[in-house]
Amino acid sequence: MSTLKVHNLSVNIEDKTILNEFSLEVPAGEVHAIMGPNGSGKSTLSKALAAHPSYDVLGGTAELDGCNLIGMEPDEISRAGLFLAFQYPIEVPGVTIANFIRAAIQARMEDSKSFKAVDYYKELYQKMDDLGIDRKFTSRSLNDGFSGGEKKRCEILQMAMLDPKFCILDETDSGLDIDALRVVSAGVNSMRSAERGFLVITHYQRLLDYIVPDKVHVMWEGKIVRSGDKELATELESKGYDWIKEELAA
Amino acid sequence: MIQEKVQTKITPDFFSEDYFEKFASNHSWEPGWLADLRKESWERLREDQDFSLKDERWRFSPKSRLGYSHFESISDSSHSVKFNQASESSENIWDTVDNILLDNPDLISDFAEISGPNLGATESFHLTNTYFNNGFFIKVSGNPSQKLQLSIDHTCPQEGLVSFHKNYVVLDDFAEVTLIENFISENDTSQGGLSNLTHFKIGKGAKLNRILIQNMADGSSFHNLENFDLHANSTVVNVECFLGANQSRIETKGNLLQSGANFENFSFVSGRKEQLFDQRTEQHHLAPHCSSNLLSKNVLQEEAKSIFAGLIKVDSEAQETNALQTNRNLLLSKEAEADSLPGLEILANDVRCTHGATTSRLDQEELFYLLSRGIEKKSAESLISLGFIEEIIGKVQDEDLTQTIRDLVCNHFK
Repeated sequence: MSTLKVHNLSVNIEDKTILNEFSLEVPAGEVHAIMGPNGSGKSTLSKALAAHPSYDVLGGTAELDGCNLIGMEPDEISRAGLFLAFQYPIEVPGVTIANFIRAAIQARMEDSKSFKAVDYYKELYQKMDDLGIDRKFTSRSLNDGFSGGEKKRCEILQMAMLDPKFCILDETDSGLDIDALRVVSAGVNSMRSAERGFLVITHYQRLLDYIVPDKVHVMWEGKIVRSGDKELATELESKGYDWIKEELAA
Repeated sequence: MIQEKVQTKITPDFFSEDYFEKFASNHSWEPGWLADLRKESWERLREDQDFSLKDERWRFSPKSRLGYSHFESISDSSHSVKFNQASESSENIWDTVDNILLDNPDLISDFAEISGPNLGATESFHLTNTYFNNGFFIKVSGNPSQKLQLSIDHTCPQEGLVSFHKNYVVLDDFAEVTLIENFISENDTSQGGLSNLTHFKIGKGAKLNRILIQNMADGSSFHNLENFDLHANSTVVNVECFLGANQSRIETKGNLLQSGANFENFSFVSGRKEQLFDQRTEQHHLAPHCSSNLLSKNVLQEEAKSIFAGLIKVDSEAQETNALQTNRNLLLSKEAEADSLPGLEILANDVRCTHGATTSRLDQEELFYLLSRGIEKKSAESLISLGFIEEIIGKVQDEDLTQTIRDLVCNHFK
């Protein structure tokens, strides 16, 4: 049972405070969505939780199953069970998808020599089929020359292969057409379980039609300013973020 | 520690007149043309001792590390060249130079006057011509039904000793061969020097696919000089992988002598610790309608240093030349250093020549991406580096060999 508990997290980037005593709890088995206008700190939250070196954590905690992720190295956090699907997946020339995921799996094994290539490829191909990714992609360089949709599918493929305890999806819907959105969402939904939590960061309600959240939070200037059920996303879509801004000003 | 060893200057006995006289006497059984070659090279060596410190061909190079002053003597190289794999063929000749000189010295006499790449390592060139006591000779016939593959090991001697190898590769018109050369040390104490000089004569329409893997022990020295003469419509694809030795001087020259020749020269360096890789190349276009392509990629960790100096030279007759030259360097530490000197010298007016060099540090976003998947930092650096040089490794058309090369690179990150 993997619960993510973020408590009073404050984060700076280049001396500017982006997250200001941010708190959030996502229990195992639930999908929470964070929405908010540009610059509200959504991506900072995801990068800070994954320990991106450009983000300075000033204070607070972020516990996954009671283990405080703050202060851990990015690779340790990943192996502790947190997966971040990137908004802009990085291109890594010359490193094939198959070798990349294999290295990530072997990093999780006590004895990397016990890795069984046949089983690995069987699972990889199955998951690629599920996500509609051509098997030839295994030998292509990671994200190199991929379309936006291919990159996002590849992120979900990695997530499925690494079987994390908790997943953060950072604007996974950006750059996706309707068909790709359906496929990617189906991939995410197939991983929903009572043991695994999800934090879905998005600008648009559209994604939440496919990945139906248990809760929706609105982020504003580095804090959660409103929480509700899926209807909150619908309301935001129709009223825009100015509605929240006016309410906060009142 | 390594620096101290290198800077310990002694005068090797092979620089003395007495040593040369004794060497010549011991080789009195050799044919007269060879005795003349050794004698002439010895004299040239002595004449050229006063090298100018401002020689452009040594720019950026810590020349003292690439000299011979830290060797005490010449190794008995009788077992330092070994053919370890060859496909069956009745029409082709291959053997060690020793054996060829004993059985059929005339085969080699045609090459007595051949010059080296002449890109600066004059001392290496003259010393190797004076003292070579091993090497190999390969002559491949033009029977297109026989695609020969040969694999050869060159073994580095023990600390304090140096081996001089001279090799000849002759492809008759329309011959095809794959040649794999491994430069190795038998164990960690094989920290001597290996100077290797090779002439490639590529006949009309012939195809040479050559792979060189240098993985000698830490502390050793490597000098590799090679000269490719390409005749009409011939093709050379040369892939060189440099991983070992404490210091390496590499000179590669492709002479595109006749119309339609194609010279492709690919190399990578995987350097660490205080390794030095000093690479000089020339693509010399002497005839029209030829093409050449050079790609050199270097990955440097810790305090490793690479120097790349490449020249595309196009003579006035070499119209419609198509020549490319690219050097890319990836630095994994603040202390690593890559110097790059791309150059063009074009006398023809209808050519397409491009050259370029880039040096970059490890992309922190790329590294973070790999770390965020749980891959440890050293493994992530290894993966990114392998990805960087995969473009070169991919030129090796043998799956087992490519995996061997990848494993050797990965071992550099442990």
